[in-house]
Amino acid sequence: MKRNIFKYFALGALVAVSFASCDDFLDRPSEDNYNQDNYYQTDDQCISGVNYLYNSPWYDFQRGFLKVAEEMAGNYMFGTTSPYHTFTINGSDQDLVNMSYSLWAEIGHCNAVYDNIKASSGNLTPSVRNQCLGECLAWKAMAYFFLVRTFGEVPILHNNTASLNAGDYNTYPKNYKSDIYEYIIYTLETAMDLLPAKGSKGRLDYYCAEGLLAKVYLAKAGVTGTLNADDLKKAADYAKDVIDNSGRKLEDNYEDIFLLKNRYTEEGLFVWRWTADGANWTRQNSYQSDLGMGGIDDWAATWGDWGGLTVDMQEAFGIKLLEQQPDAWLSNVDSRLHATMMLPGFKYSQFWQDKGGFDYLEFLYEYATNSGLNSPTGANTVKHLYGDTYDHIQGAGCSDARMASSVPTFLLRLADVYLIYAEASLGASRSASSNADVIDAFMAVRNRAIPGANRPASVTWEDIWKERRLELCMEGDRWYDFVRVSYYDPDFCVKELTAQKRNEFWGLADVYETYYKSGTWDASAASYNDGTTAPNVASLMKGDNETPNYFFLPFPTEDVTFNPLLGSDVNAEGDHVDVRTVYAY
Amino acid sequence: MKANLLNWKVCMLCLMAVFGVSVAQAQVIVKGNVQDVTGEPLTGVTVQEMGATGGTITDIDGNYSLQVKNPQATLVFRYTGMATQEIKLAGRKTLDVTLKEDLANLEEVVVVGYGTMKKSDLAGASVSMDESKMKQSIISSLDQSLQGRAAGVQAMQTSGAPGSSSSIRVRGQATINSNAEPLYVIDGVIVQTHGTSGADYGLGDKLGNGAASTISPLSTINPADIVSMEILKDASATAIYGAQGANGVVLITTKRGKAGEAKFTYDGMLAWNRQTKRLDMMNLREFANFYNTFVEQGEVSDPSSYYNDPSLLGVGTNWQDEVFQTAFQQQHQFSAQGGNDKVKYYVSGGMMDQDGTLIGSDFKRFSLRANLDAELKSWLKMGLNVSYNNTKENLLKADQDEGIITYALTSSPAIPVYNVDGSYSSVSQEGYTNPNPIALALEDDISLKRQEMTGNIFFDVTPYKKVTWHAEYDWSVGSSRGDVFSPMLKLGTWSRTTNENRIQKNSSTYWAVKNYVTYADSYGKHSYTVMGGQEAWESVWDYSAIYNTALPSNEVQNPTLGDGTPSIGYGQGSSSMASFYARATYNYDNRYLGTYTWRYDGSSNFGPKNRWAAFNSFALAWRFSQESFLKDVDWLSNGKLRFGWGQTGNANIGGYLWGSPLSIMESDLGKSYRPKQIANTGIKWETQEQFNIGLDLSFLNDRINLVVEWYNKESKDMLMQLQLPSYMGTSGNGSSALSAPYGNYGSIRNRGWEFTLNARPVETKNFDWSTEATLSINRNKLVSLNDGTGNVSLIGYGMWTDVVTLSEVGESLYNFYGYQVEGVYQDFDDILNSPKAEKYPANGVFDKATTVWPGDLKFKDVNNDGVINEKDRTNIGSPLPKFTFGWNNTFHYKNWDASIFINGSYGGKVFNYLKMKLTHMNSTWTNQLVDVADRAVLAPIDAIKDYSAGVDRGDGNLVYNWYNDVTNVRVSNPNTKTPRASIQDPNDNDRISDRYIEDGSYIRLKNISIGYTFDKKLVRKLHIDNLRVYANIQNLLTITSYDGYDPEVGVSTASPNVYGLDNGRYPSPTTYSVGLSVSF
Repeated sequence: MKRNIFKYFALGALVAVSFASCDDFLDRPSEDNYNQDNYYQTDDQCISGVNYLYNSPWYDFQRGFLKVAEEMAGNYMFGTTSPYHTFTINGSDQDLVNMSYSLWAEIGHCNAVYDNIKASSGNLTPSVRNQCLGECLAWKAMAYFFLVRTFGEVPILHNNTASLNAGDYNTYPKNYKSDIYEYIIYTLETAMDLLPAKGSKGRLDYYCAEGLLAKVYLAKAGVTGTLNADDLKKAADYAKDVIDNSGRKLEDNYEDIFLLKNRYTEEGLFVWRWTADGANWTRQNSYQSDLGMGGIDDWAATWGDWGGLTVDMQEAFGIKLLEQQPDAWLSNVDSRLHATMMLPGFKYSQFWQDKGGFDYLEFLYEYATNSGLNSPTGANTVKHLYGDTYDHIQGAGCSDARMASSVPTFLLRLADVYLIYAEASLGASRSASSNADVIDAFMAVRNRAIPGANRPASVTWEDIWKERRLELCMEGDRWYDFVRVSYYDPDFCVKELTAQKRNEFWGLADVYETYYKSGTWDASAASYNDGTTAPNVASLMKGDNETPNYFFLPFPTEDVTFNPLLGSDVNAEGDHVDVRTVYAY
Repeated sequence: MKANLLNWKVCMLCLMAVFGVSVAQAQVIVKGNVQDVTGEPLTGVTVQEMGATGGTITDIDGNYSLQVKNPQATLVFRYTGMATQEIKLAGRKTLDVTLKEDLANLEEVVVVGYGTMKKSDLAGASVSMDESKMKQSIISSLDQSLQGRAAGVQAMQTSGAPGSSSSIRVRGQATINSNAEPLYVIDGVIVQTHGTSGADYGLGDKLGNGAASTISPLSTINPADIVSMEILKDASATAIYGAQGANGVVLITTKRGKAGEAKFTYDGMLAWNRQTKRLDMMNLREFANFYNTFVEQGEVSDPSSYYNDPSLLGVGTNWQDEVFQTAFQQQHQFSAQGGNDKVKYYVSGGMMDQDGTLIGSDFKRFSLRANLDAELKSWLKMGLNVSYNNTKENLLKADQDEGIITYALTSSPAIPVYNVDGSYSSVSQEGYTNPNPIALALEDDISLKRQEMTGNIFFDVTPYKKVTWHAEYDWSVGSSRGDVFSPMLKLGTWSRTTNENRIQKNSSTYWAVKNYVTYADSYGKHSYTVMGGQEAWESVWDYSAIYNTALPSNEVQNPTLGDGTPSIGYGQGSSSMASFYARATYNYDNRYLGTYTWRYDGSSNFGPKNRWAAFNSFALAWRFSQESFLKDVDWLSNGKLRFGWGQTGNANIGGYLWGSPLSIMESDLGKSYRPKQIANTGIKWETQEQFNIGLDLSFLNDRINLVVEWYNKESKDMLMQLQLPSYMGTSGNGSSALSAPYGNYGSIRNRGWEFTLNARPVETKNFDWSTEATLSINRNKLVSLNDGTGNVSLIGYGMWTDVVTLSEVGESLYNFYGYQVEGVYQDFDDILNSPKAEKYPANGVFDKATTVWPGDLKFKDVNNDGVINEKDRTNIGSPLPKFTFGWNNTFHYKNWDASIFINGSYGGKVFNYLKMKLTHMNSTWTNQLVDVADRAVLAPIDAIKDYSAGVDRGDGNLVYNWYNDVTNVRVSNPNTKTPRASIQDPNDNDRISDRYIEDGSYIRLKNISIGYTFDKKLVRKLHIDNLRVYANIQNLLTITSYDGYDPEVGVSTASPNVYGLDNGRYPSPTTYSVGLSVSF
């Protein structure tokens, strides 16, 4: 029996030991990563905790950004059957849904990082802590600004964790547009209190937020159905402060804004800071894949051949491919034309630097994967492209990768603030202004693009409206101009959009080929498709007579599944919320 | 074994030397032969003289020769699994014996987890599957064998790919957690799954984004080594596995050696797999006609000269014939077993090599196993099981929008597979690129290699008779290598000029220590056992990956050779569990039985506050057939009523979900760290309570057996990731959105009946027939979700963001969700007089490209608000079957044996998602089903209306054709259910609707086999013990009304919360096989 006693002793010991050591044995926090509790302890950690708010959560918005703002507005077409081109978008549209995902993800991340830094027990320098908190709020305001202008009435989500704990997230009503604007303004004002006057390279500062605030006031001014003079005055004042006091200057040369090496340009106020360097998906800019023609990169990852700047956009620059000779665009005075669309004969020294520069026609017929002209309108885009791997290394110091570049995306440029100032200064009557400051601001933008352009005696609202289109084409802005105007003048918007030349050219490829091979431009056999009728623009307006007409896109269907209060037919105006008393920062 | 015999003979010689001649004279030699009831000689039977030491064992022919001291002595014949016989010699010198199987000891002992039990003592619900049933199926992975064989166990093959996984649900889906698969335990060692998604193995999203994939964690195990499986179904049976038992437990026992001469067995099989069904796609001529109608009605502006006269065209490429192949499969297994009464061994080696019916996919496995049992001392037994498995497979993306099957079906018949120069062709038209599916299948590499070494060593210490201490150490060391290579490729105008390579290596180590003590005793009519013990395990894993682009050529795959920016990945983690458990059983007079089980588990998956949980269960049984009033009833041989209740748990969520880890994200402002998920520190166990009533009846001396079970199981505090509306910031790309928190969010109830009937209707000398039928009925209900928040439901997505299923509280899980189709709009009046379509123009101007139009689908206004919108979506069918069944028959006639196995499923719906793409009619580049010929054909109401000067359509714009004039268009085939063809499809006719919901009921001739066993006497001349040849056909016939390839569509590999969605699922093939089994 001796051995039995020993065995029982051993068993007993084993049980005792296993009990005692259990808690250590079972305590296993994340082993290969930092976590929320042990990070945000130093200034550097807080700053790096904010960096990604400038890119990753926005990734899913890239397509929607151009499809909504440029394609719907009639500046660009991704193809003749794109629902954004034909105004047949429904609530399950992939790009629409991803856009919504992205905007709310940015808001969720901003809230999370804001909370984490606020709760940090680390010994942080107050100015750094404030800067980081301010960046979170300014980006959150930007995301809401896109939401309200895209979907109209949306819920306000102030704090994700609190909503989660309360468990009432599926009963959120839509809120008034004016309340959402108020929330954006409140958030931006808080951000401005926190942000430094001058941020470090590429980061948001006080004046960036103020520039956005000016733009928000300009948009909000019409939300009640008539233009509000006070809002416009605020927009003008804030814009003027940025112009006068931010210390930022416009680039001298328009095309330089978009050079990869120039991506920290002072002109950029709100900029998505993508990078190709790294491994994590969503760090990067993928625009060249959607917009670039097959063969421009080294990855066989571009498929933008079948898109192009619309005929209407070409005509806005004064270009009529079927009627003019190449000289009309080759010697066009507006430098923005060359920087915006590729046309036959255009060359780009910033692309294919290792191959001696990029010649549009030569590329189409000698190098393109799908040889020849495929763009339905004969004009491929320039903005958002970078060229090949060599160009990328030259400009950004690192290689590009499949669907990945470091090209920044400008959401708000200083030039926009100049035009906001000019427009807001016209007041609620939108009558022409001969105020020198207004003309100065307008001409600062126009003169850069067209050196020596005549200084007019007065500037009209229509002048600014058109200038905005030329200056900001392909920068994700135009549809939102229509949206804000539709608040108070829907008929103007419907009329302008319906009158657009949104269809394709027929027979243009032959014209290009002949021109490339013989130098002769003969467009007599080509034609514009005027058989396809204009899309039913009004179908994207809130319809009946009881509510004001304005543009909106349907809320993603899947969210309506969760929360029927978001349905397109429910609660058209939304609920009112007293923003400044209900929410606190 | 020769050595042992030799030793024995030496011993005998020594004995003779010691006792001398006088003793020898008193001894008598007895000879004889031992056989079983079939006349088969038994090798290794121990033959002893009662009361004497020593003895002998029979040789390979069953012969023995024993010297006995007393000619009147009694001889004892012992053999494992046979009833021991004692026979008086009564002076005889030859004694032939026939041993009978010991039914009481062999058949009735079942494995129950941490021990064994007599079957008659069981009070819980479990079902056994022995080797013979498994052998009837042609399986590459053991989970495949469960289909239809056991009541209450639903097995659906996730894919028809070789070696692919099945989704097994024991008594219905009881958790939302992606891992609702049962726990597999092989000889006491928990099977390590190493993840189920392609991403877990470093294949990224190449196999899809779902949590489930076609990769089977069980396919590394060689099914030929398995002797039996026990499926524990109710909580009183699974409770001993506590926190790991909620989804059911499958206990697997591998073969072990039997005493006797070495016995060698070879099993070999050759098989051919074919995909018999083809979808009826348009051929080139039909496609040309289809294209021309687009042109005729102004949908496409450029007529194609190529399609001018379809009668001049051939049939074009049949892409289905190109991607499917007749696939060859072979498997071979050698085993040897034997031993003596102290040491027994079983060793085996097997290989399997199977090609897929889709070109470019295959599966290979090599496996070794050694099981050893040794009686070291009379009080100490040792066991050692070791297995090594090695698999290699080439995988394909199938069940996806971008899968091979979808591409093959949508590829235009106008495109050849190869160009004239032999290179792959491809199509790239106006931005639409359809990659050549053959090239994708053959050129893109997605391969996975896995290795695993698993085993355990245990000691059973019996200090005195009633106590056994079992001490065990288990281990499993695994590694895998996932390799994705996208070569440089030129497909017509489509070219990939830079290649990419990613290799990920995973390694994992698992160990467990178990100690339990069993005490068994009885007095009078009472007998009882008490067991108590401890277990702890730890699982540690890590991975490293390297990715690079621009390798110099496609020949050598090594990411470090690439010229791109290499990226490396590394991660590690671990989890652990500590447990204590106890079980007591009580038996009174074989009439009243009781079991109580307790388990206390601590898991590292939970935060400090919620780490430990206790689970209890009990079961009672009454063997009423043992009562005096029934004991003499002849026709009732067994009757048992069982009753059980118990709790089990589920902690299967992965580590550290109670916190918020950060992950790296690069940005142009510098490296960044981002919170990955919203934390929920309060996360705790999911618990399940199950109530079970069972009735076992056996009639006519067990010739007819019936088992009926009723159960009610409810999962509470379900562990799942909360589904949130996108404004919570938790939707979209995993690396840009926040992950929704995991938590305990609701409860699910499964309730059902199970019937198993087996019988031996015919039993004669030459012919017998045995039959078994099972029927499982399960009703599933989502009882609650996150109480108190109102509108909570679970969404499942088809591809990308298509909502296809909605699980609402009060309903069963995974109901398909969409619109109901009422018909097609016949004409303008019909549009005006129906509820307002979504694209009903606000300004009253109709346009066939942008507004609703005659020929579009009329959806039902479910909520009767006069408008068709998102709110008219409703439940359009449940994928869960109303019942499933299996019916197996085996026949023996002389040397012939045959079996037929039929299984089926009734009442579940299948979402033919593939058909959605094959009937959308909104592109002139993609091929469609022939069915689209039945689409709504538009015709003018007034054919002679004059359009030469244009007709105002209402907004000042003129139209010049009847087909652009909404007032002059009607549908010429009013009874059609298919909408018009439209490139723009403004009415969104291919939205999720009941148009694609089909009845997934089927009855399938799953297996049919015939075998012949050669006469023993005949083959023995060739020194062969046993020789059987057989032929088998699997999936020969399926009767179903389902339109797709295969109605057996299980869990989705694309997204969670989706079941029964066919998006080009790799169909299960028909398999023809011949095999040979020989032992010597």
